[in-house]
Amino acid sequence: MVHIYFDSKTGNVQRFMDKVTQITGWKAYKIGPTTTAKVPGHLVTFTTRFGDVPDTTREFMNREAKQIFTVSSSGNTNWGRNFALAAEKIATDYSVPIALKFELSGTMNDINQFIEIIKKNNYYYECKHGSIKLDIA
Amino acid sequence: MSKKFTAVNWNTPENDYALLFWEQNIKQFWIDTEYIPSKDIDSWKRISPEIKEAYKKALGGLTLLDTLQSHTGMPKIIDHITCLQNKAVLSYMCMMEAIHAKSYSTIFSTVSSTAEINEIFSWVEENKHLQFKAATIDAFYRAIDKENPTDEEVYMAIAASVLLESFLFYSGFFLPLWLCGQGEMVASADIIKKIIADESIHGIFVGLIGQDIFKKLPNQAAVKERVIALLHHLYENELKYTEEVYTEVGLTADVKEYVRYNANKALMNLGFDAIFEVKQVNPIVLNGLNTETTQHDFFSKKSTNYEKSTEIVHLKNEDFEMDATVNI
Repeated sequence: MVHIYFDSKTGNVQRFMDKVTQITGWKAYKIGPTTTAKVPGHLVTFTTRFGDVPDTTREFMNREAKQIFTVSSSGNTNWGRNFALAAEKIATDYSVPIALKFELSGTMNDINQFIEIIKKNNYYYECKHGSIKLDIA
Repeated sequence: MSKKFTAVNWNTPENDYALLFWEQNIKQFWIDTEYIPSKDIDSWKRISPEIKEAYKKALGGLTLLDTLQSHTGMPKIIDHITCLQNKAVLSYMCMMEAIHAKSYSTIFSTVSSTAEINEIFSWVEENKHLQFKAATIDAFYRAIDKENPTDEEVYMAIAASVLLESFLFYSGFFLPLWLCGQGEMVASADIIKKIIADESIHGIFVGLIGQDIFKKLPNQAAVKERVIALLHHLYENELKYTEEVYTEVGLTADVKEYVRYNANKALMNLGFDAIFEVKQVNPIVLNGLNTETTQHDFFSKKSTNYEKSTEIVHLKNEDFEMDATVNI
């Protein structure tokens, strides 16, 4: 099972996640001030102000970064180089690889691409994280 | 008992986004005269007469939309929004629309003669596709120009406003971005990019207010269909407008793709799904958005570029000729 922690303010990431969970049946948890990541999973957030990470996401990552496999961010190309920059800042600050940058609530292409990337990599991360024991014998 | 008037109280949040948008808007504040489009005079001399013509028309069309938005769209909508903090944010946006409308004139004044400028403004009045855009949107604004409009009427005015700001502007924005993406008219593009940043947050904010009202509507499916029908109606007109402005410069297909791309984004701002299949936005346009200019004001942290200087001396090659005799 894939677990996704997401942050949303204007509803764009919420709608993106609604579609992802509808298609895949994955578990999604909206980040609040006290959200913890009991099970390891992926992060989907948005970019705010001028290419910044939302405060709620940063507080969550300060607590739970070690439980997070990948980061994705919503954004808007109208912001030029600041487009979905939150993903890059999180990648740098918490050493988490970027899965996807998408615009607003994402097109169907974005959603399918996101699902493909997570599917392809989730097992690898779960093994690496130790939440799945590899049978090496 | 006469009507009770309420004062806006910012110490008690009315929702979880008004203050956020108020602050973002303040941080994005700018005025046209802080930019120096006259730096583009050399560039303007280089570009072809056909592109010049299209550029002037694109900016003329943009001026009309910003005029409509600041003089009619925002004021009419503000009148029917109950949340006082949201009203305050909208009135700030209304003021910025007036600055946008004026800023195109600032660009015009550096590249065109008075006669040429007047010609463009007459073209705006005579162009049937531009007039169609303005009339179509204006009809939804005028429909709420009364005491007690229905929720659906208010919602449709808001949806029309989002379509104007997140969709109809982009056939015009295309050309300055495309030129900037290849290093032409970059100083003027700084102004255009400030406008695009503003329109981006206007679209989200007005879209959010729209989504709040939409949730209360009893006939959501029917109203959504009205919005989609309106978008198609405007889209057909955008295609014709695009052909008229861009055929001479051979950019029609790329502009149409950019128009569809932004139509999708306008729908997302209203909380709906994208409806157009978009393959590839012209990479030069994206490059235009990504271009960081050399204009920086290190004392204020605003967006990607900002300049507020009172005395500017441009460097010339001759400044580096160190051939003067120095007597020691």
